[in-house]
Amino acid sequence: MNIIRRSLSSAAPAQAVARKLKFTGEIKLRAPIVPTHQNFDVNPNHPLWQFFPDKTTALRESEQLDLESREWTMNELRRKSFDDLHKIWYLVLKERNILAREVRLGEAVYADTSKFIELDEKLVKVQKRVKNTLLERQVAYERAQLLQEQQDSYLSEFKQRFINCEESESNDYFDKLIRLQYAFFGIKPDIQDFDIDHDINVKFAQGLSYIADIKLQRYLKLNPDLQFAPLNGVMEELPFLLNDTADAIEEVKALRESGQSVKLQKIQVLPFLRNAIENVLKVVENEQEED
Amino acid sequence: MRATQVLNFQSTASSSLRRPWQKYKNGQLWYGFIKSGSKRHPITTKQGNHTFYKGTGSTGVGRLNNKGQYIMNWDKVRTYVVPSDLNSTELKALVSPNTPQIRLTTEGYKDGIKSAEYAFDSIIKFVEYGEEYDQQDLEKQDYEERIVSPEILEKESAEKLELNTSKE
Repeated sequence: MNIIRRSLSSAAPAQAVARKLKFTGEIKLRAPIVPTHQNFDVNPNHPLWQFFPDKTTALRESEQLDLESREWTMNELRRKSFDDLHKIWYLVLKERNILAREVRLGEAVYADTSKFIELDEKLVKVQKRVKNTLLERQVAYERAQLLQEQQDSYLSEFKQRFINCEESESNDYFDKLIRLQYAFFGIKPDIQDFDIDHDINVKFAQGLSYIADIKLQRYLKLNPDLQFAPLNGVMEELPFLLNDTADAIEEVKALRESGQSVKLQKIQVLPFLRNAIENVLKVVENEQEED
Repeated sequence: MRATQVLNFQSTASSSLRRPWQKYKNGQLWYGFIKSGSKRHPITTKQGNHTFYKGTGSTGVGRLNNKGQYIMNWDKVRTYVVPSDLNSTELKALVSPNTPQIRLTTEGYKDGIKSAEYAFDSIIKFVEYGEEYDQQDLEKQDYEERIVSPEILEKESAEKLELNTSKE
């Protein structure tokens, strides 16, 4: 058994008194600070000031409210981008937070809050319309996913146009291809925006093979003398997304000569793509740091 | 826990696992039921039996480990994605009363702006003409926005051509 014995040495208190604290000489007593708000400096840029549109009063008069402005209509919101709707939502939310604070305060001091509530109802309407606009877009988007036939026919038609386009239209068509890969397959134009976990999915792999095929066909059309076997899986398709077509073809040739080009199993495709794109992103980051 | 199938042999295994969640009314006092007074209120945290947990949707964002330290699970914590340029934007929460309202007409689409064909046509226009594919000068059009399907546009242009040729 363990019994803890505490022995109180009689020398300990005497030692404690004898030892002088380091800072005792520097401390000076002063009058206590009374805890009222006048004795505190508040940063004028404090984020909580956003709850107070008029910094001089906590509760605005009803005349100070903007009661004449109207709500955003559905037709106006339908023309806005997602980012704009996002901003409008948060502007309304901030405004509603201010009003909620004032209504709460007004009820406590028995003030007339009817005008505040009237304004709040307008803002609620805007929020409902923003939601409704997004819902309409989502419905249309989900319905468009079912138009598989039209999508396929457009993709094959675009492919023909891309391959057979004139030299002068070439740049134009490459811009179109970048927009197409984003709209149809969710492949973002800039590799640095890729989200490895979410963006690299089955659609991405489908888009990759479409892009690689279309670019190679175009190149072969311009250089009919080139002998080049058809692409074999994602390993050979990926360079066509990352580099120029001419460089990509050289890369694939080198890969084939070294014997490392393998057709991956279905289950290996996405992990390979994630790994490869992660490596590319690392290289880009390192280059940026060096600059 | 295994379901006691002997006692309530009439019910299925899954429904006896879901006990005591009764989905029908037979006069028995159940969650939210009271004998007298105003009845149509949401139940509070104090009502219900020992399995009823209402909460405020606010806590439970982590767990205690064996040393009594609270380990946060940041996946469970609410996040608010606020637009980065919210303070510099020119948009307002409400619109000036003098702003003219826009009318919208759709032609050739079965379910207006919600139809699949409209979304698909917009996607194709985006691919072909870039981000500003649908710029209409609303002031010239008397604040009426027209969304017309390509087939109807083709018909219209064909009719115009016919008119022009017949005039000549």
